[in-house]
Amino acid sequence: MRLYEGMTLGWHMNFIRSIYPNWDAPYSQLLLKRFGLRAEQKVKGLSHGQRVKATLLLVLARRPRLLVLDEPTTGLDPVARHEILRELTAVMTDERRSILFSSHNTQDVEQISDRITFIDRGRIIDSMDKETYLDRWRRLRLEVPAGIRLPTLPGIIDVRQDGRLAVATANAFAPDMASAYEGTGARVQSI
Amino acid sequence: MSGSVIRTLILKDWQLHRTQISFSMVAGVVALGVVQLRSETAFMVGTVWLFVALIVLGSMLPVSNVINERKKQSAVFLMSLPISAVQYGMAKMVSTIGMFLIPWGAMVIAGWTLVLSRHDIPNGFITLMFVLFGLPLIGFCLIAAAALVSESEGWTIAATIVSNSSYGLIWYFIIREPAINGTLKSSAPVWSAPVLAILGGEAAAIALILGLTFYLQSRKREFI
Repeated sequence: MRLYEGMTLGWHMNFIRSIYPNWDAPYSQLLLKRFGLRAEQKVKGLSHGQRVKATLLLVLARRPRLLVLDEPTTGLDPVARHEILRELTAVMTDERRSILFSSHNTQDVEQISDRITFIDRGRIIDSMDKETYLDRWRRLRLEVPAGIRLPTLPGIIDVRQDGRLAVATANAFAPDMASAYEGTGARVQSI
Repeated sequence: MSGSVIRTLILKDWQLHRTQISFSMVAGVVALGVVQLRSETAFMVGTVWLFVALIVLGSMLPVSNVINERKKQSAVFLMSLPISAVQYGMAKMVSTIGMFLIPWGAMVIAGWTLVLSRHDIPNGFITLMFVLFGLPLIGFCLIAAAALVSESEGWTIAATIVSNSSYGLIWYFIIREPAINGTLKSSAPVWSAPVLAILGGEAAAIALILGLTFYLQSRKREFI
């Protein structure tokens, strides 16, 4: 989404305000300050991070109940990313408001999501709340003595072995997986 | 809400293009200033500049107001607002045509006033002036229609080429028309049947192009 290059951020704010009567002007001023933006800045002079913040300001000050964002933190430096995520987290504290966003960055997803949905080539392949995901997805680091072959366990979706060290990734972790590996002679280093 | 949204979008386009419109107005004023230098060469040069200013504005406006908004993805910004495709289409049509009509109308009035105020230019010129001023308006309508309906840079460029390359030929035939050529030096404009037929043809062409554009714009249901 691109703003009009030759116009200022203030012009964009006035334009949106003329369409949304419930535009929250004090909140927009607060966001200007928090994001380190100036209303008189022309869009063509803004960096990528500033443009993302400006766009988010224009959206947030409308006080929408549902916010749909596509890769909101892509291409941002860590500081700008932190600022954006902090503001989105602040939105989430209001229980009447929701954010639906797409991201390839699992750190962002883990930081602000309540519910996660995986989409692959346009199809939903899994959808559940974050805590359940974090509980189910685990990485088991194993020490595998020579001559020992790791068994195929249900819920383990990937095993990578390099010499005596192996990493098994589980998408449906169960505590008895560790004992199943140890039963074959492997040693679980960490989960 | 619908009317106010369309009005807001039209105002937005005006604000975005005020520099472009101002430049064309300034170019028109300069051209008229050259015409006032009271020599035959200055009259010709000024007249050509006046039409060039209109033709350039008529070619650039649809591109910058319609095509560039798509190309630069600013239309996506508008899609995030509570605006329907019909409202957007209608606002674009009104703003594009309005932004051209203002300088065009101003130049027609200025040219008319100039001919009436100058004793060395016979009033018979007024018929030719009105016929010639209709041409950039038709050309603009054609380019704007291509831009608004197709929203494609390729089709708009094609319409611009067709429109701008036909001025010379049409001017040639108009100047050779006895009903115009033969009355240029008369003391009053002669609104003969052929002149009225040409003006009627121009008006019909404009009405047809704009009517078709309005119809097609009102049928758009999707932004993309």
